[in-house]
Amino acid sequence: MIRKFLLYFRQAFALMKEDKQYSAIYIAGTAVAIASAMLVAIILNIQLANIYPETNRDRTLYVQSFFVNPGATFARHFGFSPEGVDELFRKLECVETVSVSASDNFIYDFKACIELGKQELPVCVNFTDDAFFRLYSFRFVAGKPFTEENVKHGDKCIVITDVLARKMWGNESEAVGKSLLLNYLPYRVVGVVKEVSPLLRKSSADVYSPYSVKDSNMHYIDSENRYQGDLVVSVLLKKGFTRQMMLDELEPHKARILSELKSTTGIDYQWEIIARPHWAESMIMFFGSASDYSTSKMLLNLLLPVLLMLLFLLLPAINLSGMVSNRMESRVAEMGIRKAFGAKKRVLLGQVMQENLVLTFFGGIVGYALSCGVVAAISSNPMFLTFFQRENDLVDSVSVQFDMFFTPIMFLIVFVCCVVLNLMAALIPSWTSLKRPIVESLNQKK
Amino acid sequence: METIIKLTGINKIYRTEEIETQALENVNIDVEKGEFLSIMGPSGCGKSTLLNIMGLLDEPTSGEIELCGTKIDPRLSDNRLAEFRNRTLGFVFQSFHLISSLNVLDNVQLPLMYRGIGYSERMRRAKEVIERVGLSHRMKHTPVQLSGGQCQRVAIARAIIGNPEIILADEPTGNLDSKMGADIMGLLKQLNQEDGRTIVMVTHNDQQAQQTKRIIKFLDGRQIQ
Repeated sequence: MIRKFLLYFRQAFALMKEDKQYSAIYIAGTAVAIASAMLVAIILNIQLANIYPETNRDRTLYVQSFFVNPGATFARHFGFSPEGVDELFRKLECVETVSVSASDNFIYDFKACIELGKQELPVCVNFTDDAFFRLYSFRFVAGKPFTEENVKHGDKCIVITDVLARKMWGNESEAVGKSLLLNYLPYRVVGVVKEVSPLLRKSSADVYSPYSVKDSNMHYIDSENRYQGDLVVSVLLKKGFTRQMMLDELEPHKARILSELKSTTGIDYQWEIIARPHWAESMIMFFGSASDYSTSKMLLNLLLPVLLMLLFLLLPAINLSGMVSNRMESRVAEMGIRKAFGAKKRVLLGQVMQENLVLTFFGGIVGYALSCGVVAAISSNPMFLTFFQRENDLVDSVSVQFDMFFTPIMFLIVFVCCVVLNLMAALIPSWTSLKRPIVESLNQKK
Repeated sequence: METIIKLTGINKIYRTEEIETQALENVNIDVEKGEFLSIMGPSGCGKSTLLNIMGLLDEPTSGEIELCGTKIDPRLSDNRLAEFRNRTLGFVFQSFHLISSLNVLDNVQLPLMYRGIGYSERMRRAKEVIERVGLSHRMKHTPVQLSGGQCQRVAIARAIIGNPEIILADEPTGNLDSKMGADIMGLLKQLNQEDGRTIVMVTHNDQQAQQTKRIIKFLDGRQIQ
């Protein structure tokens, strides 16, 4: 079997050498098709796959809270207060890690410099907690994360990225222990992490600081309802636990808090807690605000991009099938010879498809490389940033990471795309050609 | 003697919308095992059509074919016919019909590949027959690197590698000069005499036909002698 495949492989190479122009055009056509489809796949990969440092996306939930007062108007804020987080999430059985971050409004518009008068750089700050570094698998280049104690005391200590460290001090290890001015206030650098691409909205920033460095009252939005705040909760479920299990476990805590609020404020609140899995949070532009987060719903949501990929493959496939048809015309005599010596039609079809697949693979590799290049080139484009909900952010330049492009699953997708394209482009013309009578084939001029 | 090819009442009519051409008319031929038979006649008399029908490459309009004691059912599937051809028949064509993208070794082993024989066995037998036709030094060459005579030797090696009972040769020397033609003729005679293979050869060359055991002459689709 392998030997036979190698023989087909060898013949595919010989045919490539025999008709270089055809091979070049076919590979180019395939490359464009695969590149178009892989653009969609890469975007999905960045949005959904477990990539640095969001390596547990499949177990991560993003939780929002909506209090509704008796007038049935939604509260303006959708976060939790620090107390709300403690009361609700810290004691849950199904939760491995709970991390909070101040909502996005606080992240931007910071300037960083080593000392006053020196060059200032605009930086993105994420106000979070120590659990953030357990929720996400950051690689520490130097130093370590800030601690629970730092968060409790509101210490002005920060973790910065290696890129920022190099810009400020020339190298990463120099940064630890040094002071960095953020909007002219000094913060002590305790750790340096490998930079995260801004396309990973949840975990990327230039600077990570304890959320408690801000005025703690800022995290309480409502003076009457002390559970409502500005903190966004991210939950890492323990292995084997589901979103529904967490919601069920939250129920008694929720009932207790509502009853307590009624007795202290006299207001009969309604409280909706929304826990979105990572995929729903990432695909919100396709998914909207629906509340069904089942796996089947996720697969249904993936249908649209998959259909888009198929469309990207289908259109060039129609053109390529014309080329295959011409190619088969020139191989009619060869097919006749093979049939005369006992080849069955399906065996020949398999052979032709395999030979064509070799060409398609070459195109696939070129197309894959092309799609990676295109993503890298347009990653800072606002239209592209729309896919990652960062179009309105002041993202200066977008870096990309190796694991956004090259993972086993991406190679598998390239392979599947090649096979699908090959089937669409070569199956019908090959089969039509093989249906010719042997004598007619043998008499065909080469 | 055992009859290995039996054609009874073979007719072949080519029909288009405007015209009907009778290529073969009531052909009856018996070929005995181990016979070397040549079919002669002017161009267009139906010799090659007959050989194609004999080789199950084409279907007769009517008539019966029996090869190696097996009556060929016209309803037989393409796959069964392919298997039968693979095991029973070897072909040598005037224009060699070698696959240009394959080297000599790969061209020769083709019938065994479709028989499902393993790689090492295929290689062993291919080398054996290539040696027999005197082309051991050309195994890795492609057809474009060979002379006409060498190409036809490769074609003969391919025809005999599967050890078929019958070899059908359609003007095997037609594209060769007289010296090369004589070489190929010698090789075919050797296969007939030493291996006892049945050979049916279509030829224009009277001198070569005389070297075979029997000659059948055709004119306008009819067997005249």
